Amino acid sequence: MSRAAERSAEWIYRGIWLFLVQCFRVPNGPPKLPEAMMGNLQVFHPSRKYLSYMKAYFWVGLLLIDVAILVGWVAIYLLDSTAGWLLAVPALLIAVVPDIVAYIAIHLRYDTIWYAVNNRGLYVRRGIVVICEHTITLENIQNVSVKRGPIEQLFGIATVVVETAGASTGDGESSIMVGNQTIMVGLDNADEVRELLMSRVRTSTSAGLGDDLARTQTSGWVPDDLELLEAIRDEVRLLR
Amino acid sequence: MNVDESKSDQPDPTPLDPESITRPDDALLVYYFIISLLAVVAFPIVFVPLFIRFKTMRYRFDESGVSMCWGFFFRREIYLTYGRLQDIHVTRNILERWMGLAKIPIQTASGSSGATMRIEGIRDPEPLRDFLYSQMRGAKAATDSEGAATQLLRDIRDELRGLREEREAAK
Repeated sequence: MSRAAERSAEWIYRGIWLFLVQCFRVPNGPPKLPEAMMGNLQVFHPSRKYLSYMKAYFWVGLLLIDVAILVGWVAIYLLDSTAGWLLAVPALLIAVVPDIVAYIAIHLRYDTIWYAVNNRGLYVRRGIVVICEHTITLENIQNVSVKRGPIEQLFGIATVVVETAGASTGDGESSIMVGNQTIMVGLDNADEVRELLMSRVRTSTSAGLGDDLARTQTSGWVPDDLELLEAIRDEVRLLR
Repeated sequence: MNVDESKSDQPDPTPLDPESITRPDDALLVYYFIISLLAVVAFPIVFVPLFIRFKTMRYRFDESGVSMCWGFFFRREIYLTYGRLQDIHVTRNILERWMGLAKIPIQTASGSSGATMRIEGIRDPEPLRDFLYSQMRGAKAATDSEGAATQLLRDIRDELRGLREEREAAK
């Protein structure tokens, strides 16, 4: 694509954004995070590779559907050339319009996924029609799983699923809207994220089921304490 | 809920007082009405229970937990403590966003499917979400680096580091 085309595409995209923001009240820009989450905060989108990953599916789908439409149209044209000419424009529309919509939807989907992590909490927002936000504290995490499909491996991304002890979803409810799973799609640093979350879970003294921290606190060391103790040991070693 | 609106007008909003939330916003009834209209013929069947739900819905936030009750023929009450919260969601569909409403389904570690409590009809959900989050286990907690023991350890480290640096300088 030439530069001019690229720039105009960007303007059109921004126009669509503005329309969504004003008419459908899609929040613009980074999410409003809990104030208690402010220290050490990292806010990020999925990896750019996730965009390429979705686009790969898009191009394959486009190819299949458009080839099918073309074959269908050619068949009609060969049977009856007037009907073929009449159907040329609708067929072209059916072939092209959904592609454009899907392409824009992929970009919108990418831009509306937000993750935020700090050393105490995890926040995920996604969605255009229904906007879902999910906030948990790392203290409540039960397990973290990393999933990689074959195509995802090809693109070097992974999906991190973080589960709390909350209820899993019932019938007819989307797992994103309600549920105990926090799904982070398209991360290219999945192992780092998993390590960050799990290190927190490992040092936690509770079972993550609402145990009273104030009580278990007095007996145990918190991660910050351990870090300090290590620093003290190193200092003493150096003193000898 | 004029409380939130008046607060957002102030330049420096004071933290939300959750105890002031006792009823869903009036716009929730309009929302229920519209979604009942989608049922066309079944409108009365859908709307009447929702109307009763709206009319009887009460929230009570206190210092340790939240309770919610609704229903006239079938009364339901839910009690839970903040410390046992597991997940906080905030969901808004297009209609709710147009009307400025939000749902906050929250969950404890119970095994039942779906949300434990569905706080509905909240205008401006962020302050309430922030409040719930800050009350959740592990959100700030005594484990913070401000604990007395941690401070003591930090002092010891700094003293030792000073001592070492002095010795190194003397060499």
